[in-house]
Formats: sequence, structure tokens, C-alpha cells
Amino acid sequence: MKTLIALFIFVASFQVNADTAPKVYSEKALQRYLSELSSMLAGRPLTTSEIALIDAKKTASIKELLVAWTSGSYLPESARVMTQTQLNLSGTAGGVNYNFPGDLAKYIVTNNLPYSQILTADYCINSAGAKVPCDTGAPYTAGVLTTRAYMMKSAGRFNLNRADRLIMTFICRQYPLETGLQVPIEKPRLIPMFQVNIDGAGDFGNGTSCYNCHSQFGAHAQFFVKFDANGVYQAGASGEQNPAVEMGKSFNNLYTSHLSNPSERASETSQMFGQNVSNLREAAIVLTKSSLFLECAIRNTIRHVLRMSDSDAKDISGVLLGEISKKILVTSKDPSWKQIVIETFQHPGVIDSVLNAGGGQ
Amino acid sequence: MRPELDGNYSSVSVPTFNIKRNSIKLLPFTVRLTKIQSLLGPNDGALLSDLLARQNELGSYDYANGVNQELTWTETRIGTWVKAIQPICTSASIKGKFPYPGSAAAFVKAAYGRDLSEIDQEMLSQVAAAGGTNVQKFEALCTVVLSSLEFTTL
Repeated sequence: MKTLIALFIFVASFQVNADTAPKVYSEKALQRYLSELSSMLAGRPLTTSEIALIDAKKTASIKELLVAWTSGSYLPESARVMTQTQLNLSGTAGGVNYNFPGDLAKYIVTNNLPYSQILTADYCINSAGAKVPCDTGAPYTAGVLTTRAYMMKSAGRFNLNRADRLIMTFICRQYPLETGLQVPIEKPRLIPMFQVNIDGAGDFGNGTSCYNCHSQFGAHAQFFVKFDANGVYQAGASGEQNPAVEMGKSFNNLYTSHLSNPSERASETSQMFGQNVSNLREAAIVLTKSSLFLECAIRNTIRHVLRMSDSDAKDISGVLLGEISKKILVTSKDPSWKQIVIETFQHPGVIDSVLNAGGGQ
Repeated sequence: MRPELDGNYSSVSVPTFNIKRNSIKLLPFTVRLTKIQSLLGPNDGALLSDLLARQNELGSYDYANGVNQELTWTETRIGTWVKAIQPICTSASIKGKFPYPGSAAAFVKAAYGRDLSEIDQEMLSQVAAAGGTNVQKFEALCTVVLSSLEFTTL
């Protein structure tokens, strides 16, 4: 019996040791992997000394180089490009600064601030890298959201596009969301067209159920009710449908609310992920505290650095994102992009995926 | 049950994802630019002016003015790129940094960020055997390397 127990302990401990041993990669594989990362993280190829480091330190070189690159001067620029290409916002036109979002991302990374500030910063950043007020005229600020650039690019009837873009870009989801995450607005509170279910949709919209998506869309679109088509905040917005124009457009170049009650439809108060909040800024704070925000940031980071297509990035498994997220949160509950990058690109799932992409180990 | 990941990721199978490389995709323009800057070292920026002047043709973006990022490596884009890098390949800066023929291998290694392969060695031999002065040979080598798929897409 004692022999059996000893044998069991021996086998079990061997299994544990094998399972927790770090994965080993060949020098050639490491060089290939780190070459894939260096351009987008360091803005240049591997140097001779980095190649020597990889040969000398093998798998340990991954972390060492990631730490070095994320402390270097190119990483903020990489963040700027990621944000600009993700949101399709850059340049200036018509007196509007479309560089605000990218410049904010660059500032956040330069100063090693929590990445969540991309949606919660209470300032914008100008081309000289200085803090300035954002340009919507709103009495609050919510990072890239309260820029005319974001508002104008996403302008559209019922503020659907503004809400959709927020959810797709920053939690990597599309409507309808799980009802446990985003509690649907009760039917009677919505204007009749959005109460329609699959039996009564007729020819309207996509011909299928409206309520499933719009009961959630509506809550998020409400946060944008006071921002007109030019991204300017109008405190007096009513959210009321202008009967003289097409559906979804209100008066004074604003957009119609989903809600039927006059005081509700004029109010910025709404619900984000089950929490009632007063405005877009408070909604953004709730969103960034969701685990989905960090997981989406990891997904977007992988997509950007490995230059993946949107469809390939969509297929990155939640299990992988969850593992990386868990590792990041051990160090910081509100991580910087630097921390996100360092942990993400050490995960064997990411390394193996790169090495398997038309090359191998 | 998978053992808890406790700092070192385990060597049990890990979730991976597909990265399709069905088509050639350029690095973003700013990355290609900083790669060239890293080869040049400190400079006054004049050597990059052609590249910057043509950045929208070379795949950069200006979304506010309707220019989307384009990362396909088309014949037109290759031609524009080759012309725009001539000031760099003919510059005293880069020739001084990588004097030919002694530093030809170092140039290739620096551009690609890896040890030279047999194909690289063969390329260097072909350049060395070609007609022309050392200046011309370096300019040809520089143009070939900085226009290569590896330099512009990896």
C-alpha cells in the first residue's frame, strides 16, 4: 500500500512538473516569432544584439525583448496607428480634428496610463501632445467618444451607428448581447416600431425581429441623444422624431431616441450592462470595468500587431483571451497597454499561432 | 482538468488561432518609414521627404479626407516605392554606414533583422559579380533589399 501511494505521488508530481514546465522553442522559431513582433512594437527589425540575446537566453528572451520594446519610443506610435485604423479616424477636415482619438492613444501609452482611459480620459490631446478640452462642447468627457471625430464618423439615424461602433470596437460584440449583460428595455417604453417582434415586422428593417436588438441598442443609443450630426452637444435635445424628415432624425440635426416617454427620450440617463448611469462618460466607465473590455483590448492588440484580418481576429478564442486577461489582472486591475502587450505576446497560444502561420517550428 | 496556470504557461496544449497569409500585406506606412529610419540612423529627415510626399500612394491613410489605408503590394505601389527610396539608397549616410563591399552582409542583416540565409548569400554574390562600380552595386543591393517583400511586409 505504501509503495502504491509512493508510486502515485511520484507519477502525480511528475505530471504536475511536466504540465507547469514552460514551453521550449527553438532559436530559429524564436527569431521568427520575435521578427514578426519587432516591426509593429519597436518600429524596426531585430538588431544584432537582440539576435544574440535570443540565441543566449532562448525562451526567456521573449519577455526581455517585450519589456524593452514596450519601454521604447515606438510603442506609443503603434498605439496611435492601432486606434486610427480601428476607428478610421485621422487627419483634419472642415475644421474638425480627426487626430484626437489617435493622439489620445499615443498619450496614454507614452505616459503608461491605464488603457481604459481611451474611453474615460477627461481631456483630449492636441498635435503637440498637450492636454486640451475635447471639442463636442459636452459638459463631460469620455476619451475618444466625446470627440467630434468619433461622433461625426458614426453619425446616423437613431444613433445606432454610434452605439454599434462603441460595442463592436471596445467589447468586440454585436447586438443582440446576452440579456444577462445588457438588460433589454421593456417593450412599453420603446417607440412602437421597436416593439415589433418576428411576427409583426413585415417589410420594415431587416424583416425580422426588431425588439431583440433594439431593446439593447436603444439603451446605448440614448447616451448619444444630445450629440448632433456634427458631433456638437446640444443640451436642449429632445430625442423626438421630426415628422418632416426620415425616421430616426430629430430636430436641429439631432437623432431620434428609441424611447417614447418625452422626459426619458430627452435624457442622457440610461443603462449600461445593468447599471443605470447619467451619461456617456459614466457608461464608458462601466464598460471599461467589464471583463469584456480587457479581453477585447487583447484581441484588438493581437489583430493590430499580427496584422490579422477582422474575420481571423474574430475567431481568436475566448479561452485564450481569458487566460491572458487573468494573467494581466494579477499584476494590475486597470492595466496599461504596455502590460497588455507584454502578457499577450508571451502566451504560448499566441506564439504557436504565429509559428503555425505558414512556417512552423 | 487543466492545471492552473501559475506564472509559467504550461506545456499542455494551448488554444491557438489562424493567421491567414493568403495575400501579401504591407506593413503600415509609418512602420516601413521607421524601419528605414532605423537603418539610416540619425538624419535630418530630408532623405525621407520623397517617401513622405507620396505616403498616400504608398498605402498610408488620411481618413478625414477620404484616403483609406491600402496595404496591397501592387505594381504601381512597387514602382512608386522604388523611386521614393532612391534618395536613401544613393545617400552618403547609408553608404557611410554600410561601406560596400565590406559591410554588404551587415546591411542585409540589419535590414532583415536576422542572420543571412543561403539565398541572401547568393544574392550578395550575384551583386558582387555584376558589372558596375561599388557605388552602383550598393545602390542596387539597397534598392532590392528595401523593396523586398521581407522588408516591406514583415
